[in-house]
Amino acid sequence: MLEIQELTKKYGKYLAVDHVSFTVPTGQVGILLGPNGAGKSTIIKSIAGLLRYQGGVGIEHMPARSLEAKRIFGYVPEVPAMFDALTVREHIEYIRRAYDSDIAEEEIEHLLQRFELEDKQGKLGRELSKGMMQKVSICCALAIKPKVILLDEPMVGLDPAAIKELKEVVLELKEQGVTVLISTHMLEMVKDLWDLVFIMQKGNIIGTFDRKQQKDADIEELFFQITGGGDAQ
Amino acid sequence: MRGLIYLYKRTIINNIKRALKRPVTYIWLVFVVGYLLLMGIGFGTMIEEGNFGTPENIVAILSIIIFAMIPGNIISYSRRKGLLFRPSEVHFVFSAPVSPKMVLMFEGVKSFAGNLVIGVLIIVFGGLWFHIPAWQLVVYFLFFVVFESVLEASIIIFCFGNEYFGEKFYKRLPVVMYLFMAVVAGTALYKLLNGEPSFSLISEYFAMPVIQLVPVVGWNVAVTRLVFLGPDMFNLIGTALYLISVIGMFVFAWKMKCTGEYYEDAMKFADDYQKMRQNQKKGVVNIPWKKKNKLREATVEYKGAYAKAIYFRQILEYKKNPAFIFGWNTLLCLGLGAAIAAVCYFNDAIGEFGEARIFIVPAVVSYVIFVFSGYATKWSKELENPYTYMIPDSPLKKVWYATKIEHIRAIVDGILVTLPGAVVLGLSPVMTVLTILLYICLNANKLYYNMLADVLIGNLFGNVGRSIVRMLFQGLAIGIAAVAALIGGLVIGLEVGFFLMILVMGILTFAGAMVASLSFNRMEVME
Repeated sequence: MLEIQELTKKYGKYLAVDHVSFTVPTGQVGILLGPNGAGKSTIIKSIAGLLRYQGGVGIEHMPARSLEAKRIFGYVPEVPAMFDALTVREHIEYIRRAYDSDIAEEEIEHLLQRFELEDKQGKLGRELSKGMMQKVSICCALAIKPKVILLDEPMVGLDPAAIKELKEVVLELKEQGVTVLISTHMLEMVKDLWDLVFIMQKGNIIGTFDRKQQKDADIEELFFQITGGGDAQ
Repeated sequence: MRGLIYLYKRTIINNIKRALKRPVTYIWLVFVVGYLLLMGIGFGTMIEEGNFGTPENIVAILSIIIFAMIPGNIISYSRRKGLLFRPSEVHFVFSAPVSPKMVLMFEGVKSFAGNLVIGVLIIVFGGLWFHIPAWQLVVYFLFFVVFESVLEASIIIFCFGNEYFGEKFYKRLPVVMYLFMAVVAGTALYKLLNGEPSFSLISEYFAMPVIQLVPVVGWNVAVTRLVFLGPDMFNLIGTALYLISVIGMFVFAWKMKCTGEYYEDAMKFADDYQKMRQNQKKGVVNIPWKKKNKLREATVEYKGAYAKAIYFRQILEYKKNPAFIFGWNTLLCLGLGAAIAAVCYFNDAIGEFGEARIFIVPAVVSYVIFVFSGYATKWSKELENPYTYMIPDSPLKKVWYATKIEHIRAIVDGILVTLPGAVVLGLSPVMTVLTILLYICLNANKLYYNMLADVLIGNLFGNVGRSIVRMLFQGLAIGIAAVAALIGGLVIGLEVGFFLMILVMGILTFAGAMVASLSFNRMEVME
C-alpha cells in the first residue's frame, strides 16, 4: 500500500503541491495524471525521498524514508542516469547487493531478455541510448522485487516492443500483489492498466476515479471531463 | 553498504581497464611521471642546497597546506556543496536502502583518500628531505589521516545531514566563515606589511598564538607544531582543543538524526554540476556568481538568405542580450590594453625599444591569444544545431557567417587592447591600424585553428590534446608570419615587414578556415 497524507511542497514561495492526499491500496495500479507543471514529478520525487516536504508518505504502513520501506520500494525516474563505468549487468548486480534482493540469475536473464537487453549486458552506462537507459532503469527497479513501485513517465523513450512488455509487466506485478503508481500524461498508454486515477492540476488533485465505480469508463474521457480540455473529445 | 562497496570496486576496475586500452593514457603517464620526477629532483636539490630541510620549515609548509585546504573544504561543506553527487547516484543510491549518513561517507571517500595520499607524501618527503624521525612522521600520519578524516567526516554529516537547523542557518554559516577567514587573512596581511618579506615570516605568522587558537584550522597547526617542534603552552592548548573538537563532532554526528533531507540539495547540485561539466567540455567559462541575463525584446531584419540567416539570427540573439556582443572578454581586453600602456609608460619603453617598440603590443597579444584557450560563444553552438548542417549553402559560407560576429567583436577588442599602448608608445595611425588588424587576424587564426584541430583529431586526446594541436598549428603560423615580418623588415622597412606579417597570417588563417569548414559539412565531426 502507498499512502500520501497532506503532502505539501514549496519551492521558495512557489507552491508546487498543495496538501495532496491519496492512497493506492495493495495490488492496485494508480495513475497520476495531469498536464505539464501540475506537480506530478514533485509528488513522485517526494515519495522517492528526493525532496523535502511537509506531510506524510507511507509505504506498506512504514515511513517512506525508513530503510525498511526503501528495501521494498522500486523507483523508475523520468530521466534515467546510469553509472558511466558500470555495465548493464553490473547495474543490476549493484541493485541486487544494495537491496539484498533474492532475485536469481535466471530471473535476471529473463528480465534482460524481456527488454531485449541480453546482448547489451556488457555495454557501459555511458554507451547506452536514452531508450536503453530507460530499459535498464526498469529492469533495476524490478530486480528489487518490490512491493511498491513508482514509475515516472516510464514509456518515454521506449520502443513499441518495450512499451508492450512494460504494460505486461505492470499487469503481472498487479497479479503478484505489488502496488504500482505511474505518473504520466500519455493517456493512451495506461488505459488498460489503471485501477485508480488521480488527476492533478496546479498542485492539487482535482479528481479521483476508481475503475470499478466508473464501470470501465475511458480514462481519456474522464481526464478531459474534469480538466475541461480536449475539444476533440 | 554491500552495494556501495560493489559500486566503487567495479567503477575503479572498469575505469582502469578502459584507461589501459587507450594509448593516450600511456602518453599522459610518461608526461606525468616525468614531470613529477623532475619536480621531485628539483625540489630535493633546492632543499638540500638551501639548507631548507629543517623541522621549522616542514611545519611552515604543512601549515600553508592546512590553511589552503581545510577552510575551503569547510566553507564548501557549510554551503552544502563540497560533495559532488552525480545524477546516477541520485537515481540509484538515494533511493536505495542505505543510511543517508553512509551515503555521505561514501561520497566523502575521495576527500579522505586525498588525506591518505597527502599523509603518505608527508611520510616520504618528511623523511627524505626534512630528515624527520620516523616516530614523529607516524604520529603525524595518524593525526593527518585518521583524526583529520574523522573530523572531516563529522563536519560533512553535520553540514549536509543536519535537519534541525533551517535553511537560514546554512545561508549564514558560510558568511560567518568567510568573515572569519577574512580576519585570518587580514592578520597575515598585517604581518606582511610590518615585516621583511621572507619565508621565516610565514613561520612567524603560524607561530602566533592567535593563529594557533583559530578553531579547527589553527588547532591543526598547533598539533603540527607539537609533533615536529615539541610542546609549548599554545600548541598544547590548541592540540587539546583539536582532540576535544574531533571527539565532540564525532559523537554529535553519530547521534544526529538524518533521514536524507539533504538529497534535495544534492540533487540540485548534481544537476548544476552536470551542466557545468557540459559547459566546460564546450569550453564555456563558468562564472559561479553570474546570474542568468534577463533578455530584452528585440527584432532583426534578415537581409539575405541561406547561410546569411545564421548571422542575422545571432545578431537577434545578441540584441536581446543587455551587453549586446560584449562581455567579460571586452573588459579583459580593456584591462590588458591599460596594463600594456602602464608598463610601457613606467618603464620608458620608447627609450628602451626604439623603433622595435611597434612589436610590443603584437608580441603581448600574440602570447595571450596563443596561451589562453579562448571562450565559447554563439558560433560554437552552431555546430550543435542540426539546422546548421541542413541549410542549403556551402560549408565555407556557413563558417564565415557563423563566425562573422566574432570578427566584429575582435575589431572592438583589438582597439581596446591596442589604443592605450599605441598612445603611450607614440605609434603612427597607420601602425595602430595595422596592429589592430593583426589582433583581428590572430583571433581569427585561433578560432579557425581550433576548428581545424576538431576536424583533425576530434575527441581522441580530449580538450587538452585539442588545445595542444591548436597551439602547434598556431605556433607554426605565428612563426612563419614572424619570419615574413623579419625578411620584409630587413629588406624594405619595418612597416612593410609588419604588413607582410598580417598578410601571411591572413593567408594561413584563410587556409585553416577552408579545411576547418569541413566541420560544417557533417555533424558527426564534433562527436
